[in-house]
Amino acid sequence: MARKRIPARPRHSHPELVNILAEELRKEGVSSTPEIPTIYEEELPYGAGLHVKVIWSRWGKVPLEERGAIILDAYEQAGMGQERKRILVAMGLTPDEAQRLQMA
Amino acid sequence: MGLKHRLSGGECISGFEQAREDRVLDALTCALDQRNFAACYLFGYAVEMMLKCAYFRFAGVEPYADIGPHRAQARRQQARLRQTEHDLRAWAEALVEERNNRGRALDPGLAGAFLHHVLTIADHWSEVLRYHPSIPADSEAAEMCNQIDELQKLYPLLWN
Repeated sequence: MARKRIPARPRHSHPELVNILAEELRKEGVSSTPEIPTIYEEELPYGAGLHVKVIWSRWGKVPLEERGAIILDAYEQAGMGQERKRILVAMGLTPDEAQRLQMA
Repeated sequence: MGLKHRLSGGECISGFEQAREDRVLDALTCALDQRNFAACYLFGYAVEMMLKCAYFRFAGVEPYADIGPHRAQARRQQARLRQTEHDLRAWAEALVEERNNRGRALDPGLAGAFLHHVLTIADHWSEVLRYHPSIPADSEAAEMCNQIDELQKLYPLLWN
């Protein structure tokens, strides 16, 4: 019998995306190019929670399970700990995914 | 005795969980036979059962209890569930909201991935597929299969 235990993956392996996203979070204003993430912070109708959607072409090769962790780390890194605590859903979508799933 | 009279399991979490596994196997059999539209149809119901089971397990419903009364209660509590019984997005969002309401929110990143998987499947599926002639659905069946595989990994986390 061959028995192999596969270790849990790290939350993500893209610190460079955290850096870029944190930088964008610190900026004011709205961007509209696919290279720059578009960040939607939707106030949820219940409680005081936020549903954060980040639409970004750089998500293409990042597994879904890692995208949320990158978003959360970026909020922390940007010094937005208060907002981070309010996030109940953190979702990363490529522009194509956002259009297809009607999330833009 | 007719088939429908010989059914076992009933409308309970345990029955739904077994039925979900059976429908996934049925769907895979169809896909292997290149009947991908049928595979998609069955995959969708498997996901619907998974979401309902997660919702009711989290709500504390016993595995062999009739979920009928609990389903009615869920519809009263969650306006989004009143439109249709088969809305995958509504069940997924209802689960996320119910967890928040009870102070046991999912990890936000996990919630995002979960909703992403469900929305991708919901983009391909509705119960009305059954009223339409089959059309080619090779890539859709493959995508739904992958998404269900990911959802099944998340399943215990959704209700624990």
